[in-house]
Amino acid sequence: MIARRTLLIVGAAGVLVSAYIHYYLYFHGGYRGISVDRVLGLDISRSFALQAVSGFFIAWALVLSLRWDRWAMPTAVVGTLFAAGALIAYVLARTSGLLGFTDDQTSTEAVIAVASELAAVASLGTYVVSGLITRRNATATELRT
Amino acid sequence: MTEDPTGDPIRRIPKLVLVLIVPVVAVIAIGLTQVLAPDDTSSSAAPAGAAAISIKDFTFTPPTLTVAPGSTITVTNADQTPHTVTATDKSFDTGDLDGGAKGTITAPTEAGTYDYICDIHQYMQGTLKVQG
Repeated sequence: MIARRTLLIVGAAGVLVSAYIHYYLYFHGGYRGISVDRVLGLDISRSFALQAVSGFFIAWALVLSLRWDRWAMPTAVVGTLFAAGALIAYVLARTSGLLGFTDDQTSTEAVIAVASELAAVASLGTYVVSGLITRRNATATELRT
Repeated sequence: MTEDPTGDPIRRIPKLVLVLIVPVVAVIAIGLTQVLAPDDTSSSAAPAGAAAISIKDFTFTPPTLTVAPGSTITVTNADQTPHTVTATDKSFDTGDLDGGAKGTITAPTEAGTYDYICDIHQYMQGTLKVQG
């Protein structure tokens, strides 16, 4: 149980750091001025703002789920998707482009964000998968008895 | 919520602490950032009357600059990300300007309109008008 809670804590920290980096880049890194292409009202600037705000709330929900267990699995799933989505967006921005934006420079902020998102995906993904396996085994045991 | 019989330390943390810890950490981080982050604009001012291009929020300011032939133009990158001011015909180029750095370009000696971009973020566009 304690090991699984540790996964949630690491995941929450990773998501929160990623959110902070996006906040920082938006307000202090010039990313609030980038609007090349817009899809469904979303451009690079807005996606940074959205990432920062949603990351804060997901990290908050993950910490709360340490005490309110029923939130743990859904928030871990959301956190995994959030961090994986951020990583995919970063890879796209460095390769084919994302919303018309490309940037092949590697900054300190990018390294920290990627590391925190990798940590979040690994920890929360492990939490989700191990939870599903435990649940499946419990169901199988129940059916056998 | 019942006490955890396994002695899980998380269960011993007051609920109020769990509820407040993320917002408090966020407020502290944002507050420290406001205090410690470099002022974007402090180093961007060009001398009065001098030809200057400022780069901030991935945008060239002014979008169109008019100068005399051969003028020296100061370029200031007020973003944290590297940028360049590179003529599409390569007649002038600052090279990579790191965040907060300054550079200069020399306007072409022939009158005309010269489009330029950031070579790193090529959607960033500006225009230099050279008038004799």
